[in-house]
Amino acid sequence: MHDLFQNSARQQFRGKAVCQLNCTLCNVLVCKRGMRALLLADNRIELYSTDVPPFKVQLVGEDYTTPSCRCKIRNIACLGCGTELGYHITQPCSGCMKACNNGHFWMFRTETVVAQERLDSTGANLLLWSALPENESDMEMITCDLDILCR
Amino acid sequence: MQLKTDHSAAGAVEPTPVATSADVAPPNYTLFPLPNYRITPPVIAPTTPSPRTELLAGGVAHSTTQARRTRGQSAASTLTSGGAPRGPLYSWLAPETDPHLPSATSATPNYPFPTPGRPEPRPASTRERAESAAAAAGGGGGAVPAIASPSVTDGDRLGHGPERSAPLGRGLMTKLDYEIVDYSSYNAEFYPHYIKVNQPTAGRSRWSSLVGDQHQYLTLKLDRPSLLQCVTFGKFSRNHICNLKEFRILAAATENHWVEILLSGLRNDSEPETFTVRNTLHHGTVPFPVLWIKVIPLMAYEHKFNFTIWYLELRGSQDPAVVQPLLTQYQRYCERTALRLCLKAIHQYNPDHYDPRAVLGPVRGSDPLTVQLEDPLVTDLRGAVTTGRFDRVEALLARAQTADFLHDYIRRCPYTADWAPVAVRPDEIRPEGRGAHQVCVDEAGEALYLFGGWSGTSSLSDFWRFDLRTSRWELLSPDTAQQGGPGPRHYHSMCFDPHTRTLFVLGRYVDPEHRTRATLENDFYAYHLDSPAPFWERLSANTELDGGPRLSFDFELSVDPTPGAGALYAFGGRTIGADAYECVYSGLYRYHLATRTWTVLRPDALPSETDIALRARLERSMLFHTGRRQLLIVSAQRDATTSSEFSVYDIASDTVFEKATPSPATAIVYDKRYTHRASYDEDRDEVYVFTGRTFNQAAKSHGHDGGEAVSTLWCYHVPTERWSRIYTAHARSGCSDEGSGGGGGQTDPTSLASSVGASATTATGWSSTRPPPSAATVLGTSAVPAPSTATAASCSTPAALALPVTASPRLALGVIYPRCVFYLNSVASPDRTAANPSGASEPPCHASATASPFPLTPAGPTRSKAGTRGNGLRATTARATADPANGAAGQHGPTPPGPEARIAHQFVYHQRTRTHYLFGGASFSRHVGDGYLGPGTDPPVSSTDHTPPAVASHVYSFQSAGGGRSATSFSTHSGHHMDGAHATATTATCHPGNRLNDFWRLELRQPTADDVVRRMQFLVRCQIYLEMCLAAHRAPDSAPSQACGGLVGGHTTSEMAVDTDQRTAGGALAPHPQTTVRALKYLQTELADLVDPNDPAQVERLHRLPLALLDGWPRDPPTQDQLVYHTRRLLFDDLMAFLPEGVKQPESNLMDMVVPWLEARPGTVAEV
Repeated sequence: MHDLFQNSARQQFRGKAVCQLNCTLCNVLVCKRGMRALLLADNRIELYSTDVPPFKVQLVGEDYTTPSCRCKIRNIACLGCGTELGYHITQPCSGCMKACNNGHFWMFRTETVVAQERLDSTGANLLLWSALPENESDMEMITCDLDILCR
Repeated sequence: MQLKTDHSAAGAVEPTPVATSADVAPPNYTLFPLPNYRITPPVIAPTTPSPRTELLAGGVAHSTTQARRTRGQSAASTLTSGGAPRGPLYSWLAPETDPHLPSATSATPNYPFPTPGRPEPRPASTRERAESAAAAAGGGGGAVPAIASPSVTDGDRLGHGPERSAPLGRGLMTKLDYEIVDYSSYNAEFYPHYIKVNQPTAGRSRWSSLVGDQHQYLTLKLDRPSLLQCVTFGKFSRNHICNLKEFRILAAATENHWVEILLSGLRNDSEPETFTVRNTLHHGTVPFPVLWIKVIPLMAYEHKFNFTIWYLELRGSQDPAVVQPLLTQYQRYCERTALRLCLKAIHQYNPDHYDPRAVLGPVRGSDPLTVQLEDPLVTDLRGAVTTGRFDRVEALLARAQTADFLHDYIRRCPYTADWAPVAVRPDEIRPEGRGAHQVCVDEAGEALYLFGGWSGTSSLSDFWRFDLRTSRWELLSPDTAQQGGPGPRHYHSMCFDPHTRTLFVLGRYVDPEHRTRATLENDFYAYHLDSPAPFWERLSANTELDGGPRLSFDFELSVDPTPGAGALYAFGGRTIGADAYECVYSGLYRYHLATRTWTVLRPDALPSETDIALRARLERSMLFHTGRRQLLIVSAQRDATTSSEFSVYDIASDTVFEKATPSPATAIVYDKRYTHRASYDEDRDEVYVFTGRTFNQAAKSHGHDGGEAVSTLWCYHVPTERWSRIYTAHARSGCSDEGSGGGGGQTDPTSLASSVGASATTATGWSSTRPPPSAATVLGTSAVPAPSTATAASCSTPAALALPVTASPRLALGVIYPRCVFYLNSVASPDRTAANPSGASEPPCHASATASPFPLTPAGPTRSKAGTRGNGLRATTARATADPANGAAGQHGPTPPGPEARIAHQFVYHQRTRTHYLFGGASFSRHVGDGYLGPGTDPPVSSTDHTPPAVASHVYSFQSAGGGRSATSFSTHSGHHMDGAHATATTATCHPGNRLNDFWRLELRQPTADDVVRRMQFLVRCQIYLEMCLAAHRAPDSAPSQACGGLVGGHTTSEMAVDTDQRTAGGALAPHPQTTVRALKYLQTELADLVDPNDPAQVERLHRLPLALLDGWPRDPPTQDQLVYHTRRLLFDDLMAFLPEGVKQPESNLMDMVVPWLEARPGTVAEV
């Protein structure tokens, strides 16, 4: 039931472009599945979000909550330079889960990351979320760690 | 690629930093008084918008380009120049090679430093001797006038002598220019040289390592040798997880020969931090001018993150007038040490034909041989010991005493506390029991003055004088208000100005229910003793109106008696306002005696905004250092996050130096305690801290008072920054009990350090008869169980089988006859050493010999550097026998009487007689009769006046403890566990009965020279006895051999002569009866007398000795000879441990240095 709900919710975001996110300060690549999004609790706040644990970041400090909702969140910082890039929702609150969400639990502040929209395999069009495989089967997540094969 | 820059090329490359702290650094730097202190403002002003923000945008880009250019050019210079010049520092001294030298210096005709190959003009061989004498005395001389470390010259150097401070002050504390010549890695565009630029708001202006592992470093090179004084770390304008939680700084005079000069950590905040660094060698006696600096990050605030240094500034002196004499001194020290080590090696190689004159030759011209391997007395002693002329040995020991060679050892001995009740005749009047009173010492008048306090039900205003000569109390006034003096009060502060002979009284506590406008005026009084008829004078009706402190309690008042500049300093405490819940800490105020005006030095503050450096505003002590004109502020640890326990406020420069204690191993080792009293001995530069009872939550929750509540006495040696616990006493028994190996520290979950301290307590032996905890338990090194005797240690080592030539005799003995060590080692067992791990109370000189508390195990977690020496064998040579700390293990004995643990007492120090006095206070959990409470006696408990049940009594006594501090006056802000008191505030009433009026005298004792000689004699006679035992086992048909022959010459001749009777009677296996009888007799008459019954180590050894007669000693003469030879060597080594460094041969061995030195990898830390 929950999955169904999630999937239907995600339908709405299928037309959005996929971004690659780099740390502003040290240019480390932190995410290849970024999405430009608005904060559920406060629509005025723009963020980048992703559905899989980002690269080269680390949870820091303790969980906390903000006044706007009861989600428990914890900051994430860039392993390259230590800058706090955003936060991770460690325990979403029911309010946010019921609302129309994109199912992403990793958030990046717009000023701390540089976003670049990815292109699809043709190189001509923007890569859309609809074209992305589900996170479990996304080869992009794996290949970035593989050695280049020269054959 | 490593980046190495020739210093000449480097100078041209480096850009000028955009904005540095130099712009805002304060003027008038004086010498830093203490090494390794964190200095808080005003070194760099806090981040303010001002001009720096304007530089922001452009600054980043600017420095980026600079970075690239520098890197490129530096890399190029590597190709051409191939590295920095190696070689001795003194190349800097020849005028023609130093382009930086001002012409004036170059023109100086008689340059003091010897040019290699040319005979050095040596005008002052006396000076040379003075230096060695200073070294011999463990650093008592003034050989190093210009060293910033307090070392040994504090007293005279930091006095007001203009002739010294003036020239030094001029050349000191300039910003030192440096190059980054090497680094481990960098990340992204965070280049190493960015640390030269201070831009707190620029996230890019920093060096960041590529990884956060243990191999990261930056190597800096100064443009010329400098006396480095302090290091400033700038920070980002916000917290940052990459900040260095822990780091070390190494320095080197010659490349890659590093010496650690600082181990500390930064706070994770935005305030820049400045640390003074070690800039002396050899226990503070030799200056250490440096050329290379290496910064090694150890830990960031989060794991896995890279290390970041935002800004690094070095300050010190480059003035040739200052540095060059230091270079000379440094060079001379190195030269002397090298020569002595060579002489030692030569001596070892061929001891029979050792002739230093032949070796050194007449190089020094008319100068007599100033480099001597050892004192003639030591040579004599060695001869006497090795040939077994033991009567000669004892005579020489007596001579060592007259030559004052034992002074150094005595100074390193830990104190034993000798409490005694001050005898007051029962029929004499004396003050009633009280807490939160004040006592002052008038040394000139030989009197103590006591004023005020809390009787348990009310404030007091009686004023007493105790005459130290007649030991009588005199009631000067039952109520000083009648004489125009202060009214009843407690929790006030009183101090005595010896110059004007005036007592000052300020502050008090007011119960919340009595707080009205009228009662909250901070009246201020003086009592003039010097006048023919001493009188009270009200200096102010309310100091708050005069710009002085608000009414407060638990603050400290100290007097600066300097004639002309006389002033009072009031610091800390909590202000008393109409709102009892208001929590404001009082600041630091100065009251100028001549003009009678107040100055605010640090304002009052809320707990949250308390100046970081001076945040310890409750439960601390403030002491005035007359010589240096500094306030020493000693405080108990407030909570887990505070690490600062010792601060110094320098009056002249208005600067706070804060002791940085990054790791528990070096941290001050006392926990939360109430009623913190401290005293200061200016001659010894030692602070004594007597803490009141601890409040233990765990004990409370278990519903019992526990034997865990303790009061402790600590000693802090300011120059060496070492805390040592003198004793720990339990509340219940009135005397101490060690607890299960951990003493008071056992209840303290805070740190390893406290267990280290606890073990030191064991060594000092306040009362425990329990054996000291094994090294494994104390240090947490559970890798190898502690051997029960040293025999096990010696035998179990495979290393013992292949001994190097220079290996210790103890190991050699282990090979020949392991059990022999059993007899010799009971005093010197490693357990003993371990009970006294390095860092706790180990004197610095012995650090190398006893560095590893646990032989043949990897160096423990105490940061002992034994491991870096790569010399596990040496660890077993630990001469615990003569280790002063161990010697004091000797003071174990029956429980000495002492005052019971208490709070709200008063503890003062009489400097001239070196005596502390303790009066009154509030006791715990029991009611004390009105009369005198004898030491350790339980008060009579009547059925009507019964102690409440345990839980209640705990809370009850605690509430009453503060001398009437009402629980409501404390909020949890104070950081202490006051909840219990708070809860019972309305119900508990103070029982007047538990205010004490006992009066104690405390003397801190060290062994006398006679004691030391007896200790040495004991060792000698043990040897004599052991040789008797050997002789008794000698095979019947063998004559005394060469090695034993010496015995015949000694006073043991008659006993030792192996006569024909023995040969016939000896038979096969049994020892010779006659010799046996003689040995036993010797044991009874000559040895037993020498044993100090209070020294369990000696007693234990004595108890083992009879066994030696029955032991299965080797019977063949060659083995016996070897045994004798090695035991005598061991004895000699043990005796040497009593003698100061300059008198005996150097401890280190040139041969030990060969491999580490030749194989040294860059970055290896040398130990000095």
